[in-house]
Formats: sequence, C-alpha cells, structure tokens
Amino acid sequence: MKKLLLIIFAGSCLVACNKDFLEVKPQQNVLITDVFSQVSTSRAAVNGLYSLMQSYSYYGRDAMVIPEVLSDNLTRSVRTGNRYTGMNTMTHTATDANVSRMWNQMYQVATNANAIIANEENIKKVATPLEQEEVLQLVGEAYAVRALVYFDLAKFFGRPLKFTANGSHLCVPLVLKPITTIAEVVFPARNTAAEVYAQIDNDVTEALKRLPTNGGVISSGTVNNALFRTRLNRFSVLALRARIAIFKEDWAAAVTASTEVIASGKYSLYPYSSMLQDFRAQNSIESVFEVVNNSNDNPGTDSYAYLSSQQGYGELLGTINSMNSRSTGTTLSTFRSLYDAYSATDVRRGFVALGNRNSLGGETNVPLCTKYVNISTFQENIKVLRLAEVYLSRGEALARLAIANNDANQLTASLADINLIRKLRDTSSNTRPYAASLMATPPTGTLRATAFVDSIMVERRKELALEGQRLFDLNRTQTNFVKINSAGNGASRLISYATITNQYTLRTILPIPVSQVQNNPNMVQNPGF
Amino acid sequence: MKRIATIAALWGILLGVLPQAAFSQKAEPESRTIKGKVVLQRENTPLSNVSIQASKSKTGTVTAEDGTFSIVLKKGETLRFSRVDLQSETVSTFPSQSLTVQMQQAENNLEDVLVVAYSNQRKKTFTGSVGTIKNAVIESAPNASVQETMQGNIAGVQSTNGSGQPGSVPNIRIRGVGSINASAAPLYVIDGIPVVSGDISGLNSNTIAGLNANDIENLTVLKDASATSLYGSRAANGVVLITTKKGKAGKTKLGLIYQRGVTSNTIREEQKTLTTPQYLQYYKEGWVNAGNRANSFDSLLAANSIDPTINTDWFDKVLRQGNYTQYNLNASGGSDKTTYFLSGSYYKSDAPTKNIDYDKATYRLNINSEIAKSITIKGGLSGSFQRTSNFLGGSFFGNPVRAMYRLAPWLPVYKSDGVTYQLDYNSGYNPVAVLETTKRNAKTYNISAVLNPTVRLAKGLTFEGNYALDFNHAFRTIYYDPRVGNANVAAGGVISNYTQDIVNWITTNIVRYKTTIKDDHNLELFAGIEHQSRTDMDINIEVNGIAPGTNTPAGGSNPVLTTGTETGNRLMSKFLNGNYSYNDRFFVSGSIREDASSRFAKNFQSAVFWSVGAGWNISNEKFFKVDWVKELRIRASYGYTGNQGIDNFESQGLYSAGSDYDFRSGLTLSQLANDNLTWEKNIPFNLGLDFSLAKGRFSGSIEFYTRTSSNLLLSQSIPSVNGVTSITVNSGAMRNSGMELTLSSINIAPTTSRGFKWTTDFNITTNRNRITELDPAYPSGSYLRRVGVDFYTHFQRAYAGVNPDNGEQLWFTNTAKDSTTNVFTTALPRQAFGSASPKFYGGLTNSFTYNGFGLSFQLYAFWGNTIYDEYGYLQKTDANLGFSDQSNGMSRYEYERRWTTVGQKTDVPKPIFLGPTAGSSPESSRFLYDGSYLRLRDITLSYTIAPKMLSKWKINTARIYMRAQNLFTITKDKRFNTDPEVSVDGVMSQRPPVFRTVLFGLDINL
Repeated sequence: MKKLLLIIFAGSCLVACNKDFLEVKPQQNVLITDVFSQVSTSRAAVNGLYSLMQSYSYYGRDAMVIPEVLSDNLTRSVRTGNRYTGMNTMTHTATDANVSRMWNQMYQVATNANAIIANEENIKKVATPLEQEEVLQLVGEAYAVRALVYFDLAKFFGRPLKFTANGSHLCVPLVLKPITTIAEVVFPARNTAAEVYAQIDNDVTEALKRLPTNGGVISSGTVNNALFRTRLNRFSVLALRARIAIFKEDWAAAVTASTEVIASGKYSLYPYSSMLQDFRAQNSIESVFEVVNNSNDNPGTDSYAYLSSQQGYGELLGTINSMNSRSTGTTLSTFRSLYDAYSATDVRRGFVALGNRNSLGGETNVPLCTKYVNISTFQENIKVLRLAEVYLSRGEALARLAIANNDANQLTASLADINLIRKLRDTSSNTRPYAASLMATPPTGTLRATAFVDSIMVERRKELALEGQRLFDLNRTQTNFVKINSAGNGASRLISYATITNQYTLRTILPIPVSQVQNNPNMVQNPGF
Repeated sequence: MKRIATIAALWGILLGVLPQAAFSQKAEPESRTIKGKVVLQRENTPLSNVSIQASKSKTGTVTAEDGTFSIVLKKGETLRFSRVDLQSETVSTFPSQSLTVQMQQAENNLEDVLVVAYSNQRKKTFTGSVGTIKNAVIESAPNASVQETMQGNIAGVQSTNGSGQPGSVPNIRIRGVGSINASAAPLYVIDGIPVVSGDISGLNSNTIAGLNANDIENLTVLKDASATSLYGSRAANGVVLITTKKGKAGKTKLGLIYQRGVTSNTIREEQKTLTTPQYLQYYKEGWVNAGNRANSFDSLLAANSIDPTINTDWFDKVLRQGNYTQYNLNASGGSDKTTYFLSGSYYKSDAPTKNIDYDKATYRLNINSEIAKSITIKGGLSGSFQRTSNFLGGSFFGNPVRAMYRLAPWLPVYKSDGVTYQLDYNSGYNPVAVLETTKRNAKTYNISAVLNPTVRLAKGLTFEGNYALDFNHAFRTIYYDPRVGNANVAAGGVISNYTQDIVNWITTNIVRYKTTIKDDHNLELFAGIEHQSRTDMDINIEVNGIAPGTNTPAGGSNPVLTTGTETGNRLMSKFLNGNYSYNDRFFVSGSIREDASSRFAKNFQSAVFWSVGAGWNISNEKFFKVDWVKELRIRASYGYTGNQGIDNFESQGLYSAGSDYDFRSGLTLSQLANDNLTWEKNIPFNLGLDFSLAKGRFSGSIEFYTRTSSNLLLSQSIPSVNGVTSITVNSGAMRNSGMELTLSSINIAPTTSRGFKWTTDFNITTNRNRITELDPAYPSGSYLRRVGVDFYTHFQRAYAGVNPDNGEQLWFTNTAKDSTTNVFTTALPRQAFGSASPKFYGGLTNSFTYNGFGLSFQLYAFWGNTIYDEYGYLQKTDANLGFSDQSNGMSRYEYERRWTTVGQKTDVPKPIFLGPTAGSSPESSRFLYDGSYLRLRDITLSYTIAPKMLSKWKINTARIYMRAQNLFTITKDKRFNTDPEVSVDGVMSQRPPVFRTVLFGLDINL
C-alpha cells in the first residue's frame, strides 16, 4: 500500500507538468510584436522617445556640454576626473566613449521613432474613433523627434549643408525602417548632407501635418495644457524648423517659422529680475521645448547639473586662461573669454558667476558653470528650445535677408528682435541698443554685412551659452576661435576654419565611433580621425 | 583506538584497491583449515571483530585483536568477511599459506564508489573523468566556501578568488573557458538539486558559500562527456556534485570543530604607495624635469596648499587585522531502520580590509528511514544565513581600496581640529569617513528541502523520486551618509533596500534496473524524467534626503527608485543511461538526455545530448602479470553537452519598460528577436589512464582531454543604427585541450597506528585554449578576440620601456619593435600580449604524522599567466596631472627603480610635472605583469591526543592544531602592488586583496 501511495504521488508530479510548462512570459518587457497592438503601449513607446533623449548621452548632458567644450565657452578645471579630456584639447579620437555613447543613444531615439512611424496604420486600426486624433499626434511626435535627432546627428557628425555647394559631402546614415529581428539588421553607408537635410525637412512637414494645430497636447485621451513645453507640439516643431533653417541658411524659412512661434502667444521671455531662477524652473514661460528631469527620474551623478555644480563634480568652468596657480605657482591671470563677454549688469553673467573650485588645490575666483545646478532633486528640465533663440534666429535671418536684398524694412525688423533680447537681459542704461547705423548704407549702395551680423553672433553666444549651441554657430559661420586648455600644459589653440584640413579644425565635428566603422564595412570615417 | 584507526584509514583509502586475489587455481582437498589475518587496506593495521562466514556450511568466526583468524572450509565454499563499518569482501580462492584479507571502510569509500550523475558507480567501472577531494581536506578548512577548497586539490579545476571578500563568488573554471559571452561557471548539484549559484544580493555574495563544508560527505567534479552529459544543456562547463552526510546506525556520535584566528594582508611594504617625503622628492624631480628651477618647488607647494608635514598612510587607514572564527557541531546516529545526521555551524571571517565582513550560520538535518521492507525515504532539510558587508568597488570615488592606492599622502584625514573629516578631495569621499559612515550589508538565506523515496519494485528494479525546493532569499541594505561624498551630500544621503527571492523547484523520477547475467555480464540501466522551474522576483527601493538618525527607506524624503521585476525559466528533460561491464574487464557506458528550455527560440527549443564511454581494466586480464602493477585501467569518452547560460528571454524581440518620461510609463526597444537561438554545443573527449603501483602505495591518473565548443552564444556587435548595439547569435567556436596528472603516494607507511607516516598528493593541470572560429568583426577591447589566440589574450599598446638617455617612456611604433616614440598617441595600435590563463597550475600536498603529531602543507602554483592592472594608467601617472589629489599609485618598489640618471636602464620613467601623457589615457603593456606565483596555500601543524588520555572523558578523538592559509607567497614579478590572486580574467581592479588566515583549532569527536 505504501508503495502504491508513493507511486501515485510521483505520478501526480508528472501529470502536473504538461506542454505549457515551457511557456514563460517576460514580465517587465513587451514583445516587439505586441507593442503597437494597443494604443496604451504605443503611447508608452512615444514616452520612451523622450526618455531616451533624457539620457546623459543626449540632452541629459553630453549633447549640451560637448558643443561648449569644443568651443571657446567651456574648459576643464585642473581638479577633474576623466570626462572630456580629449575634447578639452581638441584631441578627441574615434575611441572617445562619450562620442560612441551619444551616437548610440541618438540612433536609438531614431530607430524607436521609426517603429512608431511605420506602425501608424496598425495603431489607427486598434484605436477607437475618439483616439484617432491622439494617434495622429503620437505619430506626429515621432516624426518631430526623428527630425530633431537626425538634425543633431547631422550637426555633430557632419559639416553644415552649405559646406559643399550641393550638399554632396557625407553626413550620417539614414535608417528609416524599423528593425525587429536579427534578419533585418542593416549595415548602411553614410548619406549625403543634402539627403539627410531633405529627410529632416520631410519629417518636420509630416510632423506638422499630424500635430494639433492649436499646439495642444493630447495625453491619454484628453488635452493636457500642461504638457506643451515638455512634449513636442506644433510650435516647438516650428521653432525646430527655424533652427534648422538657420543652419541651412534658408533665411526666409527661418523668418516664417519663427514668426509663427512668436505669434502663437504661448511663450514669453524671462524678465530681467528673475531670469536665473526662471531658467532653472520647470515649465517656465520662455521654454518652448524642454526635457523633463524628475526627482526619481534623472541622470543623477551623470547629469549636467552634477557635472556643473561645485557640490557635484563641478569640473567645467567658463573659459579661463591656462596660466593658473597650480602649474606656475604664480597668481591667476584674468582672461576669461565667456565671462568677459557679458557686461557687469548683464543678468546672464549670473550663469557663469565667479567662484572657487570646490576641491583642494582647485582654481579660485573663476567663472563657474551654473545653468543647471540642482543636484539634490535634479528637478531642472533641460531647455532644448526657447523663445529667446527664436527671436535671435528671426533677427539674424532678417539681417541676412536685409543684406542680400538691401532691404531697410527687414533691417528694422531685425534690429527690433535683437535689441529686444539685448535690452531685456541688460536693463542698464549703459546698454545701447544696436542702431541701424551699424549697417548703414555706404556710398556704394548696399548694406554692410559683417559688423551687425557679428554682433548678432555675440548676442547668440551670450544668450545660448552652455546650451549646446556654440560649436554649431561657429561651424556654420566659420568663425575662428581660440580653444583654451587650462588643465594641460597651457597650450591654447587658434581654430581656423580657413585651414579646414588642420587636425584641430577637423575636430570641430566628431568622429564616427570606431566601433561603428569596425562593425559596418560601409561606414566611412570623418577626415582627420 | 578504533576511531584512531578509522581516521588514519581515511588517509589510507586514497589508493583504494580490491583485495588481492590470486589467479592460480589448484586442486583442493574436501575440507581444509584456512588461517590468516584481516588488515585494513594499505595501512596493514589489524582489524578485529570482523565476522567470517563460510558460504554453505554457515560456520563462522570473528577475528581476534591482532586480526588473525582460523576457520574450517569445505571444498567449493567461499568466505565472506564483514564488519558494520567495513565493505564486505568475499574470497573464493585461497593460497596454501596464510591468507591476508585487506578490507576497506564502508563509509567514506570515496575511492571505490563515485558519486556521479543521478547514481553511484564503482570507480573501476566508470568510463568518464571526475575529480574528488578527500573529506579530510574539505572538513574544517577555513574557507567560506568549499569552492575555494578545490583550489590546488583537483586537477582540471581552476579556482580563483576574484577578491579578498570572504564568502564572495570564486571563479571556477573546469577544463578552461568554453564560452565567450555565455556563462562559464559550472552547474552545482547538491543532494540531487541543481541549485541556484552565484550572487543574488548584489554585494558579491555567494549562495554556494551557504553550504557548510563540514556537512559534505562527497564532492565530485564531473569533467567530461561521460560524466556530465546527463545534465544536458547545463553541462558544458562541468558539474560539481555535492552529497551531504548521512547518519549511521549505531551509537550516537558527536563531532565538534572549534577554530579561532586572525586574517592579515599579504601586501609587502614595498608594494605600498609613497610616503610624503618620497612623494615630494618624486614630484620635485618631476618639477625639475618639466624645465623648472628646483628652488621654486617650495612656492609651488605653498600655491597648492600642500602641507609637507602631513604623511598619511592610506594603507594603514583602509587595512586592518581581521578576526576569524568557526564552530561546527554535528550529531549522527540512529537505529537499523532510521538514521539521522544533524549539524549546526557558525563561521565568521572578517577580511583584513576594513568593512569587509562576513559571517554565516548553517543548519542541516538529514534523515533516512526504511518505512517498509522495500521502501526507504530520505529527507533533507537545511537552512543557511549569510551576512556580507562590503563597500563600493571599481572606479567609484567611494571605493576605499581605490583611495588607498590613489590618494596622495599629503592629504590629511582630518581638518586642523583633528576630529572633523577633511572632505575637500576625492569628490568628498575621504576613505576614512566612507569606512566610518557607509553601511552596505546583505543577508542571504537559503532553505533547501528534499524528499527522496526509493521503492524496490522487483528484483533489480527500483523507482526513485527526488522532489526538492531550493529557496533563496536576499536582503540588501545600503546607507550612504549625507555628509560624506559630494553625490551623497547633494542627495541628502541615500538609503536603498533590495530584496530578491529565487524559488527553484525540481522533480525527478527515475526507474533503475540492474542485472547480472551469467555472473560476468553486468548491466545497469536507468531512465528518468525531470522538470525544473525557477522564478526570480525582486524589489528595489532607493530614497534620498534621509532624516537624521534613520536607517531605512522610511526615513527618506525623496523616493528616487521603486522597482520590482520577475523573471524565470523552465527546463523539461528526459534521460536514459546504461552501463555494461563484462567480467570486471570491459566497460561500456552511454547516456542520452533530451532538454527543452524556455530560454530558447521556438524553432530550437529542445535538443538531445549524449555520450559514450568505454574502459578496459588491463590489470584484470589473465595475461597481465606484472607484480609491481596492482591496477591498470584505460578509459575513453566522447559526447555532446550544451550551455544555456544566457538571459531568460534572450531569443525574443523585446521592448523594455522603465524608460519613463514625466511620470508616465515608457517602452523602448531593447532586444531584436532571434528565432533560431539555441544552445552552445560542447563536444568533450577524454582519454584516461589509471594506475596503482607497489601494492597500491603509489597511484594516480593521467588524462588527456579536448573540449570543442561551437555555436557559441555570442553577443555580436552590430551598427547601433539598428537601435541596439548587439545581438545574441550562435556563432564562433573555441577549443580547450590539456593534460591532467594526479599522483598519490604513501612514501612511508606506518608500522603501528601512531607510527611515522608520510604521504604526498600531487596534481597538475595544463590547458590550452584557442578561439577556432569567430566573426572577424568581433570587437577586441583589452583582450584580443581573434581566431587562433587564447580567449584571455591581453591586448594593449606596446610599452617600450624607458629611454636611458633622458628617462622618457617609450612605446613601439612597429611590430618589429625596433622603432619607438615618446608620443603615446602615435604609438602602434594595440598588440597581443600574454594570456590571463595560466600555462599550468597545480597543488602539492605533503603530510607527515608521527605519534599523534601531524604536519601537512599544500603548495599551490599558478604559473605563466599575465595580469593587467586596469587602473594602472590612472594610478601611475608620472606626475603628469601635477598635484592631483588622486593619481598616485606608484609602489615604493617602482619608486626605487625610477629613472634618475643618464644611462640608467629601468622600466620606470622619470616623472614630468604636468607631463606629456596628461589627458591621453596611456593604457599600455607597461601595466601588464607576470602573474606567476607559488604559494604556501595551506599548512597545518596538529597533535592528536592519545586515546588513553581521553578515555576517561569519554572522548574518542581530539586533535588540536595551528593552521594557516596563504602564509607565504612568492611572486615572479615584483612590480605589482597587490596579492597575485586576481579574478579569472587576469585583471587587477582595485578590489580588496586576497589575504592570509592563521588560526588555532580543536576538533573533538565523542
């Protein structure tokens, strides 16, 4: 009997295990094939795009910091870790980890956007009639994100469109179809700049077709008025179009797009009195598009704020002359390129206020980098687009048009935009508005170009410093600059665009990461790397 | 006295041999008197009270005190010798002179009976390759985990401690590394349960360390196909089979082990970093070498606020002497029907690095009951509790070992008041403050329950079930003080709690059949079905902004992480095994197993694994008459096993949760689907020769093996424009081949039980690894991964030493190595250098006993490997960062050898203040070291108290001893600055160093 009982017991163990035994489903993952079979998971996929942009390898830090370090705005402290060592001396290589992380991150954004775009019809099929408008917007956002990320890729890894006459120089590979299985893996070659910029324009157009015309953002079925700064809406896409147009030197398009943003009335400029606090606040009035950092969702010690704050790494400083106490034992020199660009009464000087490097033996009385400083809750959203840039873009585009067309009305409109920002940031009576005389018509009958445009570039530098724009403004205008290296042996370099083949000038764009050249036979490296 | 003999016998059993039986046959009279003596095998100690029974007449007798006997025997009868603690022997042929019968222990008969996959088998019939360790080596060893005890004791098993954190996971590699990206760790099976192994707390804890080594009856390492293929898809990396002790009928026995000791570091004085006077001298030279005047150095010091009177010994601040304790108590006994084994233990080892603490408590109960005539049920229940404390490792500022090597000696621990921590360097992570305030603790629990009924169904036919639960639970708490470390200051302190449960169920049902046909043909068959299901669940919480005085997440004001996951995998298997032997001369075995795993793609979810083996006992052949060869056996095996050591859902196309945005959930692509993903194939071949010479006093095995792994589960780098940076495919192949030699010798046998005895055990292993097939685009980082090279071939830029003319460091610019540069960035790209894998490794143990005194020592050699110091280029910066707070890891040995004068030949360059390598990450072969070392791994000096002195206390045996591990180490390369035992990948990585333990112990048996 005992024997029988035992065998029945053993047998029951066998019966309990049938064919379904091997069915184990992932619990914190969704199968690729299931993602676009519901609106809710499709929404989550769009949130995923923004989340990827929040990474420190993209807007969370590197895409904001690298264009500043590779320019005359930022330099590394002598008391520092190993971040941006190559870039600080314009000697970065194709093995630079920050570069490869950024490339990977940006393409991850692009491919995730591809999947949403390609599944537009599938999502529409499973959406209720009431959800159709939201689905359109979700796909529109994906187009907008793809335009943004390819534009960033194009700027970091390629020369501006106008670098060659017909944009035939190499830019980045365009991958537009979703890839879900290993059989679909691609090894693309780099597309030309003309092709990439055409695709970017196409994506902007497709986005604008789908995003609600009133600039609203539908979230989970209802219009949520709080989200228009943190999700891409019609006007942020127009602001992006203006930025792209400036970079492409399509001045008329820049004027049209920026005018529409300004006219929307959704955004207003920070007042002088509270700009420093307002800039750092979430959803502040001037913000057109910002990437959200929450207290429980942020890049933490890899964040821009942590890199900047003297309570964090604090190792990036506003450019200072390389002569410092540590290497010579003598007193500090006072040449500070960025800091000295501001007048004493310019509110923006507060973003690079003088202070001491919080580290034994660190610099004293140097410009600290403080646009993002919150390292306790990290609740500072990264400003990607804001209204001041839109004004400056329109002002610049109008000035360029005025020169080209010899048009005094356009000059007046341009002066209005530029002076608006200039006077708002520095209310001192000593700050003189730019006058039309700057571009006065000389006897030959055409407006003079350089002086006023140069002034606009200075205004752009002062307004947008530390926001990931400086290198690209230098690159597109081919403005020579001095790269100051404080942490090394004191060598500072003049980066001259006249000799574009110079090894340092070649480093005003980034190398294709070495891994991407090695694992893709069709990939061609940038010259100089 | 009997017990002493028993213990002594344990040593003697090593060269187990069968009783000698003459082959000659003579005509015998009808009836005769047989006289003789029964002795313990090899030891020749007389055995008393052995009962002797004639086969037909049923006459019987017992042996006298001196082992002698006399019995009358009829023609054709055989004699059966038995005693409860010995293996019964039957003798059928009788010499004309006195008969000598050698018997061996019934218990601990490791040498004759092997514990192998799902069964026990006599060693001489086994065609596969296994390795075992003697109980005497496992028991009372001071190691946290029995895995460490394998080091130097089993040929073919490389056991390396990656760090000096007690109770952490050692790297165990059986016959080399067979996989590039999938797991290379073996499968652990304890009492029939394939258990959860590895770190489940995230603090480098080790579930296997939860097993009390003193509970181990048998540890067998299965190495080749014949031995492992029954474990199918998990067998490729070898299997460690552990059986725990069972009780024995008879008087209750009690055993006690008590050990106390200390732990200390093996780091020599010259391996430490510089003192302030040395440091400043070095920097002064650097200052001058950079083209400055020596007399401006003092003003430089002042400008950098360096106080030359401060001389902090960071090694002293981070290291210490630790304590070691072990207690173990067990009881066993029982009746004819029911026996039990019960044990409890406590073990504590604090590393000689501050805050690296470990202790554990274990409990075990094994019961064996014959509930009916043909039914026995074994039940096992064990529990363990491990506590681990450590600190952050690697390149974190908060890693005190990193700080110990890197912080300048002129940095003060305290501010001028002498009590407030100076936190203005190392990003606020003053290592003393870190050690004082940081708390990182993990508790790992295990409960294992196993029920194991055996039913005899008919003659030779049995059913056996094994139903088990292996439950593992981990709870980790981390506290970062709000005052220490810039990140923690900013966050207002950090507290995190992590907990994980792993539930591992297994059911196995086996039917066995065993038959003997015409005396000569032995056939053993078994077939089984097995199901295994594993589920892992975890919760992770982290908060910032903690309220003063609080230590749990409830004290946090800002939750930054709340997450939880669940995952699992299942395995469904059928298996069949057969062993056939003919006349104890020829042996053939075969096995087959089908595994279906939830991990693999639908198209390839199941596979069949198999093995075949054959053996020939040459010494049992009639023609074989070589007196001095007692045993000679040759065996070979071949088969196919698998490796499924990848993530649970690696074949599926997935989007991952967790990419949230603005408090809304997000999903992003994380993995591309591979519908064809399946097991790694592993084809092992083994050829072995076993021998026993000089009446069994000298014995050993030599084995040659190859292990060909193909269809490797490879993480293949793809262009990241595809949205992911890598995919998992079956691609690539690797081959391991080598030789293993194991020798055991009784050099001097004792003539009395307390006489002089000297035994030697030796083993050596060579392994040659080659990648035989690999995608040419497979990325090489700090290892060269190409066809034709060893898996662990270091890959670095070639350092050319120091220019004797000016002291600058040089790198080669061509492969011919006749052209150099002093500009790192123009040096030749990375080149292949030696491998992290040793050319050979092995252990040599000598034991001497005399009159109760014992001396035993094991030398362990690990030879021919290359170590890379991955932080070397950041530590040894030749002053190129100027007075940086954290870039000085130069050892005093190197300091003495730095270049100072023209013409000096050295490989340590001169310092150059803010020198040319600043910012260029000059990783090169300069930071590669010869990792060869020879170590006095273990030494024990003991005294076994004479039984006469103990009998009035009713103590059977008592032994007191001093024991030391890693007492003495010789390293070939003097340049590196920590213990030479580093992780299997040959990377020195700012981990707590492996250390030495010295202890006093007392073992008592009642």
